[in-house]
Amino acid sequence: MEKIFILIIVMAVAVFISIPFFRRGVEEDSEDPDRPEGDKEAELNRLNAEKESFLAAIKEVDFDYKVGKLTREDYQELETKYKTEAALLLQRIDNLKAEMNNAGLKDGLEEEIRKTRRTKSADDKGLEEEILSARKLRAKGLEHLCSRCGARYQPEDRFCSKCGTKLGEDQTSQAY
Amino acid sequence: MVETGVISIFLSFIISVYILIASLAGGKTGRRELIKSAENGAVAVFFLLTLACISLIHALLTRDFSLKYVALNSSRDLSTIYTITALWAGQAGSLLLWSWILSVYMALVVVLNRGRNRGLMPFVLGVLAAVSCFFTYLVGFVESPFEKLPFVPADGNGLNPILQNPYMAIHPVTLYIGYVGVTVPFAFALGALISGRLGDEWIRSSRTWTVFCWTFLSLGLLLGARWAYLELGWGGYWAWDPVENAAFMPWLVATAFLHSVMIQEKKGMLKKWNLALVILTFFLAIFGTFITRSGIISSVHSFAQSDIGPYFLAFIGVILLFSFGMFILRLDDLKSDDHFDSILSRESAFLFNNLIFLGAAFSVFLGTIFPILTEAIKGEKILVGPPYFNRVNVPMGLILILLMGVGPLISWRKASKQNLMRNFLYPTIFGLLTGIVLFILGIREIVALVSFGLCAFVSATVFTEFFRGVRVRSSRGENYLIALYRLISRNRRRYGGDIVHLGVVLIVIGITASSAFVTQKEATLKRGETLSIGKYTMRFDELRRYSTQAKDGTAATLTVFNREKEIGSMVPEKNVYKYEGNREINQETEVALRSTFKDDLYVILTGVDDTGAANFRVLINPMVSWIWAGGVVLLLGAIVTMWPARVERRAEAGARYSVGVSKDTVVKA
Amino acid sequence: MLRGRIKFIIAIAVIVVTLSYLVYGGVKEAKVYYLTVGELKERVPSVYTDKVRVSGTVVPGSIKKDLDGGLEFKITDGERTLDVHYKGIIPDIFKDEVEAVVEGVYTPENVFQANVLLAKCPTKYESLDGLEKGENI
Repeated sequence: MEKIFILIIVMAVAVFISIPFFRRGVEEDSEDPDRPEGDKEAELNRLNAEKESFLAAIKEVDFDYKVGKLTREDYQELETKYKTEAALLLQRIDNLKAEMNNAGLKDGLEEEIRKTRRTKSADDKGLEEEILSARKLRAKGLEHLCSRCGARYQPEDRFCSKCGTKLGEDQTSQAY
Repeated sequence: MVETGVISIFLSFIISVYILIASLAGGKTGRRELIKSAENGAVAVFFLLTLACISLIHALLTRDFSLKYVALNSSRDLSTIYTITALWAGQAGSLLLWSWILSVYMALVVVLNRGRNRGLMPFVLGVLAAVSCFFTYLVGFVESPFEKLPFVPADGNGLNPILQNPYMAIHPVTLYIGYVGVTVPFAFALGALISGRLGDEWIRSSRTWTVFCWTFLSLGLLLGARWAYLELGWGGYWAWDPVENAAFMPWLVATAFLHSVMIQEKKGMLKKWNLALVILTFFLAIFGTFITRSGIISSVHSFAQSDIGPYFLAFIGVILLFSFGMFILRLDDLKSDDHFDSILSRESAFLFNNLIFLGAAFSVFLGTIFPILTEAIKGEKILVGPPYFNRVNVPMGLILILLMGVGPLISWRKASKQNLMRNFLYPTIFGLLTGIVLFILGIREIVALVSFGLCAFVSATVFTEFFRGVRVRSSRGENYLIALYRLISRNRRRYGGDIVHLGVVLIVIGITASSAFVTQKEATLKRGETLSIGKYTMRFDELRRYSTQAKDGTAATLTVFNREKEIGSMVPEKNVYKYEGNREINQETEVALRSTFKDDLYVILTGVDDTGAANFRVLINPMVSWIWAGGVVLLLGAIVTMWPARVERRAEAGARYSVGVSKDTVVKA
Repeated sequence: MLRGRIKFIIAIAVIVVTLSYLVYGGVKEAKVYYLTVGELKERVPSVYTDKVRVSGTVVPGSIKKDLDGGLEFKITDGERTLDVHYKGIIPDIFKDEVEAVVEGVYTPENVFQANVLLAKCPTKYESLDGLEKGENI
């Protein structure tokens, strides 16, 4: 009795392991956004990952500054550095994508990549550009303007010194 | 079911070899069928080894003494629970357990990476399979739990009574989950080296696995300490025994790795360092289990003198050669993206943290293999005991506590004077004050004072972190509790890490108090006589002899008084286990323990003489409970760190950004 | 830049040097020779000042409890025998013919004063001697 059981197990295992050889070509790469072949795609992934980490770094630096771990100068210096790098990365990503398109890869490839990226939301790209351009402006000292009267205020202030409005929610770019 | 077990293990080995070949071939050629087949193989191995474990448990429960393993590790009178835990009580069974846990990890890694890391995965799987080949080979061909005896004994040898304890039941499994788990980050690292994908991919993908196995290593160590405290009955919880050290060393290096990984993620530095660290961690885990199993360093815990030693040595040799070979091959691709700016910065704090952890690991390693070294070099065996380990590790531990407080708050790149003042003024004052207050209260041991002061310092820095974070959030109108909850859930790594540090602080406080301020007393008491120790008085009331199916017990009842107030009774025991057949261990001492957060009252019944007088040894161990409590906090913090962040969060964060951004700008670019 | 680098190198060197000092001192302070009974006796009289650990089998019938609560017994390596006097916790496994390890000092009176007594956890795995043949099944 046990021998039959063992035999069944052995066969089941053998079948399970050999299945992929018989279902070749049936399921293509729809679940696989980053295939091992294709240097360009690997490069794209790498760039995207780096971009993600810069975005994360910007958020973290933002928070650190608010929490008081960074001085204003450090914060601005780091922020400028990160957003410049991120902007550069975005450019390289764009170039690479254009290159890939020109190289005649599957049309749907980009769509697939974007669609199946579970870690990104749909309008990330436009969002990032907004962030970066906005940040360029902020660096020029246009941050911290009271939404009521437009007067400049300090980050530590709770009320606008000109019109007295409470400063809160909408004023500063909030990370969380 | 024995045949099923044997065949399952044999098959697991064969398939592991297949996975190794298929995944590497698939990775190199890019042929998906090969990779997919290998991945299915991983799931199959898990299934097969589960079958094998079930077979062994079945043999144990049905008292199949024709199997050597069952005969040596169980007996007819062994309770069901401990019969099941006998699965890992002996060499062969514990090897099977190791293989099984490895197969769980392998299958999980495959399943959880179905849609990502496709470039890395074949090589990661290959490495995991290689390790699996080794262990399944051992269990299948060298030390099989299904080995038969030439005769069938009437009864088995039974399980050592000191292992029949709930802590000992779960301590090996917990420790193994940690030990074996280290294979996963190692596989990712080696996979990165083999595939050439030397960016942050491997670190990011293996991060949660690393925290996970680190958590279990920590828990395993704490459980082992607690077991030793309760069962070994000498009043302590850590003896720098080679087996304890074997588990401690990978923990030290794993902790270093956990931290330095963050530097690579943030700044792209320490790439070579991280690779070397994770290889070292894995090496130490395998080396640790080698020491424990081979009996090469005679430890009171040693399992066996079996032939398993040489196999492990060979395996270790292969790992080291291959890993460092690949490492050197890829040296050029491992350039740093950044550099160190100042010695006063978070990067430096992390670097020093790493150096000291490594220094500690090295010194423990040296102390552990000292007898082997001296025997090889001088021809005589010299060993070093607890005084050596304490002398070297205590100062380093103190520096690490300091770094634990400094690291999270100090700024990146270069800490300005302003930053230092702002972040460290109050904690430093608090730490110094604590030291002074304790000194005034009568504590004079310098190490204890420094330790407590530093713990206070770190607690203050952790508190500052939370306080500031909550303040920022609540400035937007959130109430404090919600702010705290949201703060933690949105920054799990940071605040989870802070909670873990807090747990460590509690553990250190417990260790300091229970090491520096123990009081001990021994006395022989006749019935009615009392013994005083510290603020406690204990009166020997009654000696009771009893008999159960398993043992003949002698229990001494003592009534305990705290100053004048009666607070209860304690019953230490000295038991003799009854066995049919010839058993080697049958005596057992049951310690009586009364724990509060202030101290532990620890009573051992060392002997009874013919006149009915009993010999007691009593210890007061201050604040031991803080160690276990700290362990719980550490676990909670680790869970927070590992808890997956929901995907919507990123969209939410993105949305917030855009809202803030568009309202912010006066002129849109 | 270079100045910064030098600071790092110095800091690392300090750590390494401190560590070495601690290790060296630790070894010196905690060094314990591990000898058999025969080796111990051969090293007389120099061994009287060393911290030593000796292993041997407990001679059957030699275990005695003495008046002040201590333990007296003899261990042997098969050829020579050593008198041991020990005060402290007695491991559960300790009895005749068990492999014992004692740590302490060998006094000029040729009695080994031990402050550590370990008894080797018998090999749970390999000793088949304890198993008796059962009925044929």
